[in-house]
Amino acid sequence: MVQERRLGYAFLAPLTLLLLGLAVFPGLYAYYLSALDASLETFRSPRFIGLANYVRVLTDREFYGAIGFSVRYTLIVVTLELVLGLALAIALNRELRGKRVLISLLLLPLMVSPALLGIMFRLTLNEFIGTVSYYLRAAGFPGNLLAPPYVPYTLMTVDVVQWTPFTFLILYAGLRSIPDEPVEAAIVDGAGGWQILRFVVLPLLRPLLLTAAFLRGIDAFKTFDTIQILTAGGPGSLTTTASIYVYKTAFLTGHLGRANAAVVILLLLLSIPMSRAIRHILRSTP
Amino acid sequence: MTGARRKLLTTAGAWAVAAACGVLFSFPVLNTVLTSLKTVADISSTPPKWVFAPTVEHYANVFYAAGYKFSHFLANSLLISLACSALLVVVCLPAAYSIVRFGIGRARLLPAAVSLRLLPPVTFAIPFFILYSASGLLDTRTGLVLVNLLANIPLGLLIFVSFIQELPQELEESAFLDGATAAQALRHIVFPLAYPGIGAVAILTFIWTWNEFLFALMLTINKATTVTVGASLFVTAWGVLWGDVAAAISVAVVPTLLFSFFVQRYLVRGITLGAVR
Amino acid sequence: MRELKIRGFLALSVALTLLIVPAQVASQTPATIRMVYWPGPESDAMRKVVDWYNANRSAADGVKVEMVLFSREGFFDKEATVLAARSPEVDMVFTASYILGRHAPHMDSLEKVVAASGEGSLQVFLPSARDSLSFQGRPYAVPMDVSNHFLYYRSDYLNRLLTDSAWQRRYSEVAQRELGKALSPKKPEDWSPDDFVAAALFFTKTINPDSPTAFGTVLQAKNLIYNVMIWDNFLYGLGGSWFRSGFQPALNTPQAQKALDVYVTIMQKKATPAGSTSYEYGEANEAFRTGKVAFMVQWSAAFHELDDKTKSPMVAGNVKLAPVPGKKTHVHALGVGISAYSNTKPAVQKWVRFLATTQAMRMYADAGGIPPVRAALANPALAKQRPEFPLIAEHVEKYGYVETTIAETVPILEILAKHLSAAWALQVAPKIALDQANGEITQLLKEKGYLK
Repeated sequence: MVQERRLGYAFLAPLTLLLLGLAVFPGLYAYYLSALDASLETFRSPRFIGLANYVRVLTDREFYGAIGFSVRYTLIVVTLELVLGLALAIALNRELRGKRVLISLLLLPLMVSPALLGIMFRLTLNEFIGTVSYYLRAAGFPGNLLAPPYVPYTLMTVDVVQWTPFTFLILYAGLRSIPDEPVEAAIVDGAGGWQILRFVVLPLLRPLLLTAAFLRGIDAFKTFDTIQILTAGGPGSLTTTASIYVYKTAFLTGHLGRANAAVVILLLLLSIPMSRAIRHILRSTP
Repeated sequence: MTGARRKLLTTAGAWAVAAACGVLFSFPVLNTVLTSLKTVADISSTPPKWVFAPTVEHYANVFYAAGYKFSHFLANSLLISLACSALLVVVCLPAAYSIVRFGIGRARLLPAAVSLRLLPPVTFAIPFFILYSASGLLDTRTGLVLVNLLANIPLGLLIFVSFIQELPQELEESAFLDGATAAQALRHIVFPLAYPGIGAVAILTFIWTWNEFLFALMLTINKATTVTVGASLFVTAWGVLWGDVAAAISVAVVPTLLFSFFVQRYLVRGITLGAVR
Repeated sequence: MRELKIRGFLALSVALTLLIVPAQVASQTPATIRMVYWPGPESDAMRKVVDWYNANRSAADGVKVEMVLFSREGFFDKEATVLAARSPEVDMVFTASYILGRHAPHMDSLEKVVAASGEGSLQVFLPSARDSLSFQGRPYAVPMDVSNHFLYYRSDYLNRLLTDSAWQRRYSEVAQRELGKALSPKKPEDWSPDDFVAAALFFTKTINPDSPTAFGTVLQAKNLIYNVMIWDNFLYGLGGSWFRSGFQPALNTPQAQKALDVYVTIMQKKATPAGSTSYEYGEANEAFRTGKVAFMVQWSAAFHELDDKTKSPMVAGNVKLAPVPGKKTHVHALGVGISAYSNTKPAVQKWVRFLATTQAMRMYADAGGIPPVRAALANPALAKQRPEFPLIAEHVEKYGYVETTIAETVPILEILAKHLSAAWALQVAPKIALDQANGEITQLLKEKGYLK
């Protein structure tokens, strides 16, 4: 077993090398910049200003607004995506005619870059020439989905359409690898469909459910491309996500130092759900 | 209601749900494909035209516009995404095995690696640009493979860890008793058993890398430009060339579609686990 | 079999890794210079000039020009990154009046590079465009394209308003009822901001059932810095400005309040499409092109597209241009300058001197660019295809203003975009939005040492 453990270290070597080689410098750089008054013009001759950037970010009402919007957005879309993804995974976890085509169809929205799909949504949701707007209006709904008060919900719907396939794929792969025996045993014991799902399937799927929820949660919290293209965080700051806040601070107002302070704060904030998620994904003992 | 009939009904219901969602979800993409075949006047006609005389002008623009190397972008994306997706499995599967079975790196390495996903890419473009300029990785496919690898390590690690810890340990233990090394156990037992996980990770990583915009934008000049960044070149300061963007997207979807179609066969269970119990 | 698959898999990964390595070859020859441009009509035009130069002048000058396009999304962010990292990858920087202040610290001044006068000097260009690419009194970029705003209007409807007495009576009725002002129709060329609002209401179906269009106008109210530039016309047209004397912000003045009221009134009365809060250049064009609106304030580049029979069959032939109500137009120029980190400066300088000639600019204009050069814009042969070109030259000279070219221009625009877009969307009261914007700009300029 000692020899096995030694091999175990070898198994981790490539990963460790990648992290050391590529992630350490940019990571530390964020901390370094966050203590400077660095801007895009004075990038190479900045002054050390201690925690001033942190103070500025933490006293900025808009920073909390952005976090608030991101949190609400994340909770809603991730819940919907998990429920829908699980339902689809269960529906497809059987012999079906044309299943591979169906799965490909379901995965289609993932296959277009969010940045590009965002651009196409500007056309689809256009008040005058957009297909979706036209039929919504014909059915008596408002056609201006990108104006308040509809705009946050429109953005969430776009997210759900684009990312449910992600949770579906992970959960479907998980369902496919659940052994038959526990399920068969439950059937022999006379359990119904719901009971099997609740007491046999879901517990076995738990690590993957958490993995999917965690990955989607983090990515949804960081949402940037689609919203930046559709609303640029507006009107006002109504749809400004944490990433858009960071982007605007860094590249539009030009405060690189302040933007990196915001990144560090977000990192600390997000590391709490992250460590909890990891703890729950890992089964207790190796 | 007999069992057989009931089963038939559930199957039909499942099919209907999946098909309905499939159509709904894929509508934006299908609509994009339609847009790519319309003339500029047809694109902005209202009510929307479903029947129209198709044009290939946008595809001609995408492939033959002066100074615009779309096939080169496609080749870049294909190489980068394939390499990234294969390398990710090679890097993460043994690491996850080590984490689950030996408990090495559970406490620090795993959280450190997973926290990569927390970073918003916008601000990290600058340090990466500096790092890449200094090391000659700027505007190279290798550079993009590495940065996408980094972004997908959390996904690979977490999914593999989840999978491996559900696998019965008995198989490996009996292999060890027979004198196998951990490397052999990984190759002959874990690898085939983890097929569905590998399939999912390979598909998701390929798609992610193919679609990645920000790093691909920031870390290339013109040699390693990917298809996603290439497609965005049809967005001008004076509006979006809808038809051309749509045509570029439509072409760019094909390789991902084919890749996920073929890798889907790995989404089935490797071998029946019950056989050894 | 399974063994084989694993082997194959490993082999594939190794093969792919090897395959991607040779991508790093291809070294530059010393005389190749790399110029950044953004995609669109500007780069289409520049490509023709570059091709001509490479074919005819390369040998003599010993310079080959390579144009690379950076994506429009994130264009200036990427350029800022390249410059901030002091990268020699780019020899010529693409810049604009509003962002020059951010680029100039990373660029070489053109003072000594170009000739003092005549061909090969910056005197080839319109003075306002030249000044808009100067930073602290020194020129930093060759102006390549000039942008300004026009009032675009449907001549079929606006002419009828000037002749049809029933329409004229209705117009005055609407103005009195909705705005409490006694107004009568005027030629669009003579409109004040008040006339603009009154006409917008008259051409809105919910206010005037006889209106031929659903909405009077279309505002671009997305949270974008470019939309602030359009609004600025009303601010300057009503006698306002960004600054009082020095750099004292003047966004809390009655003029600014009145300019903001133009937008707010139009929004409140629904005289612009409901989705305007997410509109920018393209969406406004779509509204105009589909015949939904009677007029709009829009960038000069739109005319070529809206007056085109194949692209805009519903309106082409009935699109006319007038000065923006208030007779002020924002002007900015796009241009190219020399990166301070270039390794091939003598070659770059030769190319710059070529660009600053009437010959190069004529070529650029013929290929679809809008160079701020009188001889190119007023060229009669070209004016037949591009009737707006002489008007652009005239308006830039007569009505043009440049907000400022300090390093904080973009941050100020960003602050304005954030607060004004909230007011435009009727989410925040106009006074509060202006006060907040004024406060944030004051704080910014204090931090940067412009104000005490």
